[in-house]
Amino acid sequence: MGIYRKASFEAVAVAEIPVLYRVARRLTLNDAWAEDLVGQTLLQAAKAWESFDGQFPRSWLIRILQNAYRHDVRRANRRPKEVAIEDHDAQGEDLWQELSGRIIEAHIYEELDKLPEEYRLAVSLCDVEELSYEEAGEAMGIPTGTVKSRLFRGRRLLRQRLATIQLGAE
Amino acid sequence: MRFFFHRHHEGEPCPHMEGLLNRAADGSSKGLARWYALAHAAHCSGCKKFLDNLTRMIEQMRREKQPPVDQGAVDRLTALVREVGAVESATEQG
Repeated sequence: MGIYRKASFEAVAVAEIPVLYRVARRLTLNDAWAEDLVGQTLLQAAKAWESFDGQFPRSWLIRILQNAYRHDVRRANRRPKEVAIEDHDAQGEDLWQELSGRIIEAHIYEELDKLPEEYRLAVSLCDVEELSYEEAGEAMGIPTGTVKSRLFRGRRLLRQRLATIQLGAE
Repeated sequence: MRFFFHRHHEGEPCPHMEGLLNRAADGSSKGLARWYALAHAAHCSGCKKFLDNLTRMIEQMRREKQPPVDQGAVDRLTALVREVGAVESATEQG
């Protein structure tokens, strides 16, 4: 059983490295920190593998990664630079106009990286990594309803940012 | 039916539709909820724009999966996993 579980851990962990790296990169906004974080995650996951129930391995690994990230932030008091996001809902501007494909393609990831962490992670897990709401909830340690509210709000902020860029370009 | 699918909000989605449209755009809604969202959007220009743009934005994120993963980092991390596996196997075998 032990040998089977270890072989299985290797297979699962190796397959999930690209996803973990992208999520780590999106959290830290830094390549070296992201790699270090994924390394920490894999070591912790290897230790905990025997007690893992096998459900949602991707969510389980991302949750370990997120905890390691929080630990890093607390320990070193370092946090990726986030840009304050204004909500334009009350300004009466037509920010829901047609977004041109060109604007979206050029700026979508740049603007995603500027969202506050909770929204950035929700959009990243559900829209980039294609986790279900349930899997994302497992990964973030929050209820499915909270995943939806963060995701929908994150998408709205992202669309507003893209629309603002488009208005500026016109 | 026309009353049901009103046509206000030329510039933005109807506030009560945002959740349903989000779920229709990412494909997580099924059945009646999906039908209702699509049927409403077909008659409401603000919701249609919102749904089209959101669907396009989500499709692009799913297709591109940025940021690109550094292959050197993947190789180093893969080696780390294999090393950990090897150490644990050796420890178990005594």
